Amino acid sequence: MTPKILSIDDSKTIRLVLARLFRPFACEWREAANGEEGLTIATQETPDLIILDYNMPVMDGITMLRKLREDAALKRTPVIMLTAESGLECLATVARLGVRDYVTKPFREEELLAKVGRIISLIPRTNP
Amino acid sequence: MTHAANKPDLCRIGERAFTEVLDVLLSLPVTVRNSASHSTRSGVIDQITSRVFLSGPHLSGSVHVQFPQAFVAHAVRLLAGLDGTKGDVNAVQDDAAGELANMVAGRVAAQLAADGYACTLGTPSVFRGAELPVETQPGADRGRTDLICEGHCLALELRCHYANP
Repeated sequence: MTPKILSIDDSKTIRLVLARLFRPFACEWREAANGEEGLTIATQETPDLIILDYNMPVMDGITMLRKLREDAALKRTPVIMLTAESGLECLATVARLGVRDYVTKPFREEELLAKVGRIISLIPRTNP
Repeated sequence: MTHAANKPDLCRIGERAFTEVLDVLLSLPVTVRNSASHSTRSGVIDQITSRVFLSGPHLSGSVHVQFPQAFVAHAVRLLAGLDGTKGDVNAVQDDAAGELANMVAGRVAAQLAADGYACTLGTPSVFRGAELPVETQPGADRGRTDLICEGHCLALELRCHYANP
């Protein structure tokens, strides 16, 4: 079964960059522009991995992460934070909420692919 | 010793942050602009300016980044493979300019934290056709960096107001 990745970022540019980055791999791609939208999609789709921004309107990444951890069906969903924030307070908060990894923007594509590849199988598509 | 006794070098911080973002994200070489440099200088009307506020226990400030529209369109092409001059051009360019400024502000915040001024980022605001604003808070420090990237003039201004602990 192909893994499902949910990207939650208020920047359409970042969502496009990520969609383009993962297009060569056999995975299902889902997107949301804020934590609230992300939570709805996560509930419906039960993704295998969430790539989550920190600062977002409507519902930020930390609030979304807290709600995710309170949901019996989603609390074990692996999350990688992808954010421009790199403060110790932010790192400590997301660590307490059990994120699997943390990538700071700007990011190198190979770094993100390597971190994602440790959580889900990234298999190149046969017909990209 | 107070925090204010060790004020960060805002020009150095701005230059490093801006250069790092353009290098890591876009793989574009950058040179620091001086009066002898020749480049495409767009009019104010062609400029997109993004602002991100910084706030921390000992600092409040802002990061202002200015790009020519043509540069942002180029960045959109490189990043997302989209023609940044077609479709909803303004929305695409504004989003990209805001995100670039957000990343620059993130690197600025990391360097300020290393100098003892931890701070968090606000949400980017984007303006069109405006010069980098010149008004500043009394007592605020400013640092400006002008860069040339792919023949375009880019500018960054940092403003920080330090509070004594």
